[in-house]
Amino acid sequence: MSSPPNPASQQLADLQNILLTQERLRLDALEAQTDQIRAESLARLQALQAELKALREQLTQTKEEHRSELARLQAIQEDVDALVTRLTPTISGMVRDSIRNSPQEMAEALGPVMGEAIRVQIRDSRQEMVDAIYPIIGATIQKAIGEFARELQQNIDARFRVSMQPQDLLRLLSARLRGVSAGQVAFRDALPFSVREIFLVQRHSGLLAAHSHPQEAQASDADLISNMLTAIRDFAQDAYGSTAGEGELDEIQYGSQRILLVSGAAAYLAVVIAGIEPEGFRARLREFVADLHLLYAAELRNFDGNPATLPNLSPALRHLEMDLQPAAPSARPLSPPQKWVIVLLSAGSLLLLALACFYLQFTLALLPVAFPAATLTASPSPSQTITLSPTPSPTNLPPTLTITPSLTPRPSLTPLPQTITLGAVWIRQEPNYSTQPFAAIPGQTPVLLLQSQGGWALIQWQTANGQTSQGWVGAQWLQPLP
Amino acid sequence: MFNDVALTTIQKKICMLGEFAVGKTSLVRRYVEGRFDDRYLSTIGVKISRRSMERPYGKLSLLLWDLAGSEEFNGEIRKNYLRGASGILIVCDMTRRETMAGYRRYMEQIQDVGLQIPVVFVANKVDMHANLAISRPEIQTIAADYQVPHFFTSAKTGENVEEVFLQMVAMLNL
Repeated sequence: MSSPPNPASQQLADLQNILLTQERLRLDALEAQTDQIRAESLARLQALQAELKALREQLTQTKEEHRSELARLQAIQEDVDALVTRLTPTISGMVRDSIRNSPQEMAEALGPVMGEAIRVQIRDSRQEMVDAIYPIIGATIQKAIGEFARELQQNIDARFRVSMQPQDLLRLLSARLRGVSAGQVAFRDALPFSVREIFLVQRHSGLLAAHSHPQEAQASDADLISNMLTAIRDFAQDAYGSTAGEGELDEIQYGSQRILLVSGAAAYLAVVIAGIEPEGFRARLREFVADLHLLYAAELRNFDGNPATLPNLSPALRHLEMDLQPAAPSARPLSPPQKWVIVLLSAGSLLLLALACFYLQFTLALLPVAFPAATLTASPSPSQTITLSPTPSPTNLPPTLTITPSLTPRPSLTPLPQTITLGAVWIRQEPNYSTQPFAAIPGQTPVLLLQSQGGWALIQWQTANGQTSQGWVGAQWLQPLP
Repeated sequence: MFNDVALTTIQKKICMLGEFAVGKTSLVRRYVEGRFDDRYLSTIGVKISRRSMERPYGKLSLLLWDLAGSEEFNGEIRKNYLRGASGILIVCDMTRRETMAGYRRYMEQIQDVGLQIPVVFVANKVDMHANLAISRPEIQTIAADYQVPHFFTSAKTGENVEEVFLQMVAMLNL
């Protein structure tokens, strides 16, 4: 049984209908819209799921492709030959382009590794490298040997042309006694040699006192070099010389050049040479240093770097250099005219000799007729003057003849130049430095110049006890009086 | 033919002393003509450079003997290298206090070899303000003790470097 509707409830429902109708309608519309959106979302979701599924399948497929590609690359990498085969054309092209477009950059890039690469290649394939570089090195060596042989030949030619000096004969004889043939001596003398540069350096400080260098050479940093040489000498002395004056550095060699060092008490001489120095070269240097110290020891010792406090010693170095240089060989062999001149001179000399012999024989034959009562007269009294020519050799006369002195006049003495010594100098018996000095005369001594020969002078001077004496001295230490 | 080269330049040998890495080589590097490699310093203990200048009395050539720091050669300079020197620069590093002791030690060694030549104290690396380990008054005091001039220099900026050489030249009484 239903109870009768409550009037109040009915009224409330009516009121709700009146007030909430609009909201209910809107709510219904919203619900409908929500259902539609839900349906659309669902459809969209299904579409995305389908798309995702497709992408996943595509990704799986790509991954498979990459995996197979990677496997293929690994296979290529393991096969080096194949890799080289594939890369070579590419790299070669790149290198070729780089060299063509920017050669300097390529040189800078490859330079540091070139040396190491060559070393490795020589270590691993020495013979191949020899074969590869022989066309270059071989030609260079051939050229150098050719130049050396040519220079040697020129030196030998030049030496054949100079007259033989007495000291040369003595040298040859001495060498022969020691078991060295004349040919070996000649070969030794003909070896190429030259003086490149000469430094005179104060011994302790390293300051440059004088310098001489070839005209064709660039003026070097002579003062820097002289200081560095001194540092090297001092270093060697500190490192290896146990006591003062012992174990001094006397030579530095680099390549084909050498620096010969000859020390004096106040200065040392550094001579840069190329080739093999001739016999007596060092003795000549020692002599020069000794002479220099005789003259200028105090100045050299007190030299403080101011050139005004030191005499200009460069001319002395130049004299030394001229003295040290070997005779410059002629660049060409004798020309045909030269040969003809020699032949004609030789023929003329022979003709004159024959005429002289004929004249002598004729004169001797006529002597008994011309001087039937010839008697021996006293020989001329000895002269106090100095003779410049050797005494004439005695003539063998027929035993039946009395000997008559020749009426040929003695050679007239020409006035001899007066000179003075520039400083205290050593006097020697022979004009070379291999002989020991037998006397020394002080500076500014007037002397008589008797003879000059190859940078040497034969002088006569008056000794302290009033007697005259003769000897040889280096010409550079003499100065003519006006 | 050879050239006999008459010398016209006044040469003066100047030695540079100082402990290892105080900046001796750097001090001269920007101001000298040189042809020798720095390797000479570690091999024979000296590197020689030249500083040329025109003076009223002619061309002057300072031959700078940069001697290796004493630690490199058993605590002593090679005294042979000092012979014939006309002046000496002693250098210390303002950022390393221990290098200041070099002033006294080198002065003693100079006196041992009987040299009576101009000496200049140089305090280098003065530009490194944050790392200075020696104060200027300390340098002034030790220079006053020996009665030698002193300079605060920076090889990096060039500060006072030229002045050091000019001072040395002035003291040579040429």
